[in-house]
Amino acid sequence: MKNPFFSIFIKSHNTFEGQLPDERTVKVIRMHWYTLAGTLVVSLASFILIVASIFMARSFVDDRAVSIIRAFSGLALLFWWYWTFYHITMYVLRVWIITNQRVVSSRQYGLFNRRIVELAIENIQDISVNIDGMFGTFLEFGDIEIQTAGAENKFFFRRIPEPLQVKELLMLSNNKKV
Amino acid sequence: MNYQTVPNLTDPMLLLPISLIFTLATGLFWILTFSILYHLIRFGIGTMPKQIAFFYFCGCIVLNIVSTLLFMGIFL
Repeated sequence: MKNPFFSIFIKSHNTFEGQLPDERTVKVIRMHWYTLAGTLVVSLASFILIVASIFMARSFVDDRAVSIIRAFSGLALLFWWYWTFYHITMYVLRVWIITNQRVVSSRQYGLFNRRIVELAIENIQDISVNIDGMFGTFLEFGDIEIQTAGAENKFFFRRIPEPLQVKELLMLSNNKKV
Repeated sequence: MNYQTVPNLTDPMLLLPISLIFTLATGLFWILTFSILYHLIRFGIGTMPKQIAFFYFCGCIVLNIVSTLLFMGIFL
């Protein structure tokens, strides 16, 4: 028998807050990993500095001061871990959900500020894809701009992987709905 | 290096504020950790946020042990 606790790590129906009873999630899209690469490079560099301060402190200061430097480096290590995962959390919580009825954009601005925008599939009027630059071309990510008939006349997907396939999916969903 | 400038670490007047800083910083870290875990589990969609939360939590425990051991080095 499978342990239900561990099943949350391996299986999901991609349900979300505010999902309608007869609504089915078709696709969950996050930004391309490239958008997180800068943060990860800074994080790695910081980690190397902190670890170097732990192991190389003895070369620069007296034995008695080494223990203080190491203690504060230990604290720095904790906050380095938090900082890295804060950015990863913001990345993970920035999602676009395509369901059989609508498109939902959810973005986390800091820990206590969220913005959710949604668009009914039948309100999609026009879709344009923009793949920009060398990295966008080779790593296959780009923006999608949707012209809508709703209150907000434009809806954006930013730096998403495989934008052309997503555009096809949106067109297909729109054709089924209209 | 001028050894006269290195503080005496057996001095309780020095150890007390250092211990206090360490305790408060660790407490703050766990409050922030809770907020990260809460957001990932509560608002995360799919399995990926839960896996990240689990990995983060394991790292928190390991790094907390490491930082405590490094802090205890002051007293040795």
